[in-house]
Amino acid sequence: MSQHMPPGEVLVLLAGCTLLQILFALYLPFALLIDLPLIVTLYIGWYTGPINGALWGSVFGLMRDVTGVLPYWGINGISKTLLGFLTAYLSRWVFLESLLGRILLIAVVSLLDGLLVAWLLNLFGPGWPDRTWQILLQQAAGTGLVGGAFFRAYDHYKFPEKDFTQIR
Amino acid sequence: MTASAHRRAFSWLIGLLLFHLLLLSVQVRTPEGQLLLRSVGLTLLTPFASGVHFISSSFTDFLDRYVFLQDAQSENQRLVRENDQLRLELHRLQELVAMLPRSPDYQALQHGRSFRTVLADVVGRTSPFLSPHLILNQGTRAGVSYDSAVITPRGIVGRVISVGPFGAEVELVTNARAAAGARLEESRWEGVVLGRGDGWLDLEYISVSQPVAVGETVITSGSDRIYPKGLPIGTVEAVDAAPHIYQKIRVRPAVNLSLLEEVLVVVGQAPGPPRSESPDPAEPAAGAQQEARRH
Repeated sequence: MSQHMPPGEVLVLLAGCTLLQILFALYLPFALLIDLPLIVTLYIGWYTGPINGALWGSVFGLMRDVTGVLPYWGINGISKTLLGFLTAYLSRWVFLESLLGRILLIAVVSLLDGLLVAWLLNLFGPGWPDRTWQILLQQAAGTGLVGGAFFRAYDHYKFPEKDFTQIR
Repeated sequence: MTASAHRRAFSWLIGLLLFHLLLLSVQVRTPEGQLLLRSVGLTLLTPFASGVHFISSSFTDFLDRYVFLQDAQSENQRLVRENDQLRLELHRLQELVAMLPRSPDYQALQHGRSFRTVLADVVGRTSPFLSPHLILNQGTRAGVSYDSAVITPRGIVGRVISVGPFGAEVELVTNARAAAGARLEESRWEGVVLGRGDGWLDLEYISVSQPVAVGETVITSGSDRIYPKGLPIGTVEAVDAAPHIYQKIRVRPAVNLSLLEEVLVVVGQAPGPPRSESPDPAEPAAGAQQEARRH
């Protein structure tokens, strides 16, 4: 694991995500549209490389499958493994420091993730979810906004020496 | 990044994807029953979800009872319970009154409607991305089984589609592929309600020749052998008669399914021999058939 994200830190993020997912399911079901496991997976992939991106994407995806009570476990696992891996490669080619750019990138990746999950759900039996496009777009928008805020806040925490006033 | 590092990264990716595909392949659902893996999953998830639910609800209860509204909270809970009991009693009596002219031997019908329930807390919900399901904190150890009906005093909620020792997963009646045998309470026409997937229900197979009034109550017919007979499903919201053979009837569910905190799960018929005396209005409403068969 890279020095930027030691395993203990990722496990704390995993526990926090799990707790929030369960609390959202109980008290704020609409907040489940914000894909917290995807946001953390992307952050890990972005800063630590493809192996960690895929590995932790796998773990966070499975957590989303279990806490979201999906009909089959492994659907989010597959999508987040792929996206964690791809994001790590993307970070080598794309220099993306602006907040708006990050929000857009996370929203697009969230849309890809949603499409992949919906396609796998259809492939394995349950069929296309109800109101697929409406939910996908809401999920992409919510995840993009919260993801942008998370990246920025966590960057401040991880890299306090960096001059974030230059980032718009 | 060197070529060997690339190869290593791709090896990890392929290994992880194979792991997930393997995981998915052992989860293929058979038409006969539930999956062992899901049962294990429910068993693992439910205590954790129940624990979080317990801690968070204890904390909010503490605030409600001792910080904000010490007396009002308990008084409100008592009134809600009393109201629920009265609603259940009202539906039972309405159904009894409706049965009187149809059959002189209503005692036998009344006996056939006895059922037992267990109270369960809702400790989880699915992501809105999917058809809504609920997770309950009661499972096979409390008598819950596959296809058990889930109800509230206001009406039906859904049926159990997966169950573990300490938890169960419930498909809501409003989900796109859910259905229940139904009857119009006043006119007694029988049909089938189908979930639309958007929170509403459609009442199907009511002929255009049969008049249906907006506002009429739709109740369970018992024909699906899952839901007890005579429980409210909802009220007719809109009727479109032409130009179909059957009317298109939209039904508003009787229960607000997004605000459920606790439900009753029908776990079997009530014990006791058939009664032969005159009917006693104080007897509990009844009638569950627990055979695992979906409409």
